[in-house]
Amino acid sequence: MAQAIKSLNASIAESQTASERKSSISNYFPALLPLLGAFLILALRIKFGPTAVPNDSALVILAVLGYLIASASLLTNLWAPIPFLQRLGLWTLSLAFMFNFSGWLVRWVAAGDRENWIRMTNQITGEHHFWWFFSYIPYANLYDLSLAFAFGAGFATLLVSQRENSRFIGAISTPLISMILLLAVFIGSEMANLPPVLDSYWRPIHVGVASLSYGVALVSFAMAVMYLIKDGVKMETMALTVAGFVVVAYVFVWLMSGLKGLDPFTFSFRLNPVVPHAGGVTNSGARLALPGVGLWATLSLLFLIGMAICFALYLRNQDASLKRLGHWLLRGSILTQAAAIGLTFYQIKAMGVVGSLVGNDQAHLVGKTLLGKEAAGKSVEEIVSIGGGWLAQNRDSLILSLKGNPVEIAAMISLLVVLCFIALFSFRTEQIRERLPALERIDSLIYKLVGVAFAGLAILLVTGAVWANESWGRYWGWDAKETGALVAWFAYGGYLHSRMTHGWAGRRSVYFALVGFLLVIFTYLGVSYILPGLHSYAG
Amino acid sequence: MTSAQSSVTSTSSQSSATPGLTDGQDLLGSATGSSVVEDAGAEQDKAETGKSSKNAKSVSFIDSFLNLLSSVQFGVVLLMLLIIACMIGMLIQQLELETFPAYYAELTPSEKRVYGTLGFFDIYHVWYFNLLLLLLSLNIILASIDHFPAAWSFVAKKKLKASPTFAMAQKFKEKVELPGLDRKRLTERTIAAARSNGFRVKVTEEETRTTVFAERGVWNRLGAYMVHIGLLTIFFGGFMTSRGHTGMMPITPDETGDTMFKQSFNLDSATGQHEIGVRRFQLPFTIKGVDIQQKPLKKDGGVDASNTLDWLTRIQIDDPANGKSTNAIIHMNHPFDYRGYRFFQASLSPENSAREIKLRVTPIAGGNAQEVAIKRNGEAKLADGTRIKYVQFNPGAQFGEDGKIGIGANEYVNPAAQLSYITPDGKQGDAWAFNEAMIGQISNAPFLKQKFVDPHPYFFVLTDYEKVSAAHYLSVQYDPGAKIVYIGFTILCFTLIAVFFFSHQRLWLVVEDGNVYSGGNSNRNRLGFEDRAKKILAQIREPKAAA
Repeated sequence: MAQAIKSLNASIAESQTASERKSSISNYFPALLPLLGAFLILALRIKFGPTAVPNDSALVILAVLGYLIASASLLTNLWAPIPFLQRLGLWTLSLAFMFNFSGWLVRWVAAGDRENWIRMTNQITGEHHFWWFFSYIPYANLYDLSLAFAFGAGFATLLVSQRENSRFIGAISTPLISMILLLAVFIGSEMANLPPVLDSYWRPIHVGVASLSYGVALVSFAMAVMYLIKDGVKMETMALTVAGFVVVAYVFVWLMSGLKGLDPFTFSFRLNPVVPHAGGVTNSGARLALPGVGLWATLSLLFLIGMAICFALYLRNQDASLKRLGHWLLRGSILTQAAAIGLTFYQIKAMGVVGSLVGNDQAHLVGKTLLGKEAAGKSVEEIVSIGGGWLAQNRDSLILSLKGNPVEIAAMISLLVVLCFIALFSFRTEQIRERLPALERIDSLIYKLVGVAFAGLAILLVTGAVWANESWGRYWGWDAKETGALVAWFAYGGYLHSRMTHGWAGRRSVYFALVGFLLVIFTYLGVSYILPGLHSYAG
Repeated sequence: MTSAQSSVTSTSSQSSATPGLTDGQDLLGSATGSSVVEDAGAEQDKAETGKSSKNAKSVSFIDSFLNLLSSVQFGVVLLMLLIIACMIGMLIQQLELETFPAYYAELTPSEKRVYGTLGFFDIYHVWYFNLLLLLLSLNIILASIDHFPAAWSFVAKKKLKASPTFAMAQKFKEKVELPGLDRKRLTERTIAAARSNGFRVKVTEEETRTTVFAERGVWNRLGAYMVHIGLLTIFFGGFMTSRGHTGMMPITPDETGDTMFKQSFNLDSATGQHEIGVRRFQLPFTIKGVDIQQKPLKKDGGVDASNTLDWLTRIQIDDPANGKSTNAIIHMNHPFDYRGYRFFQASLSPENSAREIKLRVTPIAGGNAQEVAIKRNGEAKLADGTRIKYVQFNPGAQFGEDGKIGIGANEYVNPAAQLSYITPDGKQGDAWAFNEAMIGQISNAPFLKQKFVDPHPYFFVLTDYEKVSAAHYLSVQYDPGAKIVYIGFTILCFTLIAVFFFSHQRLWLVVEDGNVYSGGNSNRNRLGFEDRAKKILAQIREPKAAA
C-alpha cells in the first residue's frame, strides 16, 4: 500500500510538472507581451502625435538590432547551451518583434495622417465610416510587406518557442528575419500613393493572410533545414547544393534583369545609378561599374565554385584532404564576399555624383527603362534620343544608392549569411546533431507548420481571386504573382501528399517543404522585381 | 472495377486500428495500407478471370492504368509537372501581356521557333496544360474513391473494445495504477476525466475489463475529401468560366452603345508574326453614358492614378426585353450586376476633358457679370434669357496661325471651352471661353480680340472646371462559372482550416484490475493530443486536484 501511494505521489508530481511545463500560460508571455507593448506604442502615437514615439524607420532599425542580437545568442546557444543565452535570445527576439510590429502600426497612423484620413469619407455620400481606417493599412509597397512578413515570422517563431524543446528554431529563423528586414531598410521607407484599384477592403485581408502565411512558411523552412542536419545530411552536401543554386540563380537573374550585378565577361560589378527625389528614387536603368568590387565578387564566386568541386570530389571519394581544402575555399569565399559587400557600401558613399561616368552609349538602356511598356512601339533611334535627353537633363543629380538596387545588395548579403551558416554548422556538426530533438519530433513540427502555411496560402489565393474578381472582373488571369503563389501552394501540396506516399516520407518529403519556401521567396521578390505583371514593383 | 470494390471492403476492416501512424500519414485514410490491399485485390481478380487469358489481359491493363491514375505518387508527379509548366509560364512572357511585343521582338529566331512550337508563349491554354489539369482532376477523384472507405471506417467502424496489450502498443501509452479503486469507480472517474477534456466517450463492458473509448474530431478524417471536393468544384467552375464572355466598353456621356470589345492575340507559328485583333460581342441591351467623374486626392493635382481616390461612371441601361430603364453607378471596387452581366470600372481614355465648367459672363453692352456652371453637354440660362451650351472642352488650347483654336497638349495647360449660345432675340453663335492666361494673350493681340471677342454679345471667361477623362472604360463580364468557383473557394477555405487546425484524437482507456491502461493516437498535432491525454490521466489519478 505504502509503495502504491508512493508511486501515486510520484506520478502526480510528474504529471503536474509535465502539465506545468507544457501548457502554462507564462510560456506564451514572450509572444503576448510584445503584442501589448506594440499596441501601447500605437496608443501613444495616436494620443500624443508623431513626436511621442520614434518613427517607423527608427523602430525598424531597433527591430533589426534586436533580431541580430537574438540570432547571435540563439546560434551560440546551439553549441554552448547556456540557459541565460537562450533566455536572452528569446527575450531580445520578443523585443525585436515588438519594435517590428509597432513600427508597422505606427506607419499605419502616419499613412493616414499624410492624407488627413480622407479615405474614411464616402466619396459619393460624404458620410464618415470609422472602419474605413483600414484603407491606410501599411500594405502598399514592398517595404510594408517586408515589415509584415518579418513580424509574421517573428510571431510564428515565438509561438513555436513556447515549448522549450522547440526553441532551437530561433537559431535559424531569426537570421532569416533579420535579412528580410534588412532588405526593407534598403528598399527605403517612403510611402507609396495608393492606386484606387487597391483601395478595397480585400486588401488588408489578402495581404494580411500573405504576411502571416509567408511568416509560417519561413519558420517551416528553418525547421526543414534542421531536419536535414539532424538526418545526417553532410554540411558539404548542403554547401554543394547552395553553390549549385547560387550559380543557377545568378545566371538566371543576370539574364532576366538586364545585366546588373557581377558581369561575368568583364569581371566588373555594376549597379543602377538613380536620381533621388522627395518620394524615393528614380531608376536610370544605366549600368555603372563600382571600382574594385568586381574583383572581390569574382574571387568569391571562383572560391565558391572551387569549394563546390572539392566537396563534390570529397563526397565521391571520401578524400579528407579535399574536404579540408573545400572548407578553406569556403572561408575564402566568405572573406572575399564580405570584402565585396564592404567595398560596395564604401563606393556608394564615396563616389558621390556619378553622372560624368555614365556615357551616352547607355542612352538606349535609359530610354527603355523610362518608357517601360511604351518602348514596344518605338524604334531604337527614338528610344536612344529619349534616353539621351533624360541623361543630359539629370546627369548632375545621378548618384548610387542602396535604394536603387535593393535586390542585388540583399542577394549579396543573403549569400554571405548562407555561407556563414554553412561554415558555422560545419563546426562540430555532430554536437548540434545531438542537441537537436528527435527526427520524428522535428518532422511533426514541420508538418504542423506546413499545414498552417498550406491553409494560409489557400486563403491567400482565394482572397486574391475574389478581390480580383470584384475589382477587375476576373478571378484568375495567370498573372505572374498569382501563378507564383499557386506554384508554392502546389509544392506544399506535394509535401503533404508525399508524406503519405510509400517510400517518400522523411527526407524526400522535406525537400518539398524546402522548395515550397524557395518558391514563396521567388513569388515575393522575384516576381515583384524581375517579371512583369499586375503585382510588379519593377520599373 | 471489381478490384476497386474488393479493396474497399478489405481496407475498411483493416485500417481502423492501425497503430502508431505519424502525423498526417493518414491524410486520406491510411494510404500505404490500402495500396497493399489493393494489389492483393487485383491479384484475386486475375485468378478469378484467369480462365480466359484475353479477358485477363485487358482487365489487368485497365487495372494497372487505373492503379496508376489513382495513386498518390502519380498525383505528386502531376503536381511537379504543373509546377514546371507554371514556372515556364512565369519566366517566358505570355501573349496577353502588354510587354509581349517588345519581348518577342528581342528573341532570337531559334528561340521564337522552339518556344512557339512547344506552346510556351501561351502555356496556360496549350493542350498539354489542359491535359495535366484533367489528369489531376481524375487523379483526385479516383484517389479519393480509393481512400475514402478507409477514412469512413473511422466514423462507421470504431474500435470500441481494446486489450491492455493493444493500448500499450500505441504511440502514446501510459499505465495508471490505482489498486485501491474497484472497476466501477475507476470507470466512472475515467469517463468523467475524458468528458471534461472534450472527448466523446463510448463504454464497452467485457467480463474482466471495461474499455472506455474516448474520441474527438472524428470528422477530421473526412476533411481531406471535402478539400478535394472544393478543389474539383473550382476546376469545374473554371471550365464554365471559359464558356463565358468578357470585354471592354467605352462610356462617354450622352452616347449609347451595345457592343463590348476584346483584344485577341495570335501568334502565327509559320511566319512568327504577332497579331492583335479585336473581337466584338453584342449585349442584349443598350447602355447610355450618363456621367463620368474623377475624385482627386488633391484638387489642383494631376489626373494620374496616384492622385485619384475614385473614378465614377453613371450609366443607364435600356433593356428591350422588358422595356425598362435602369440607372447605375459603377466605381472602383464597386461593380454593378445586371442580368448575369457584371460591369466594372476598368480604365479611362487618356484624352482629358472637363465634367463641369464655370464661366464668368459679362455682357459687352454693359451690365453685371454673371457666374454660371454648366455640366458636360449641358446648358445654362442667363438672367436675360440667353441660353449657353457647353459643346466641348480643350485642355491645352493654342491659337493657330490662321486664328483657329488648336489642341496644343492633352495636359491641362491652357484649358478652354467651346460654347454655343442663343440670345432671346434669336442671335446665335459659337464662342470660346478661355482662362485668364489666354485672355492676357488676346488683350495683347488685336487680331485675336477681333476674332474671338468682338463678334459676340458677351465676354466669356473660364473661371474653373472639374477634371475628368473624355471617356471611361467599363469591363463587362458574363461569367457563368464565377458562382461555382466561389462555392468551391468557400468549401476549400473552411475545410482546410478544419483539417489543419483540428485533429482526430483517439484514446483507449482499458480498466482492468485496478489499472487503467491508456493508449491512443492522433492524426495531427501529436504533442497537443499527448498534453490532453496526460491531463486526463492526471484527473483519473486525482480528480479533485484537476477540478
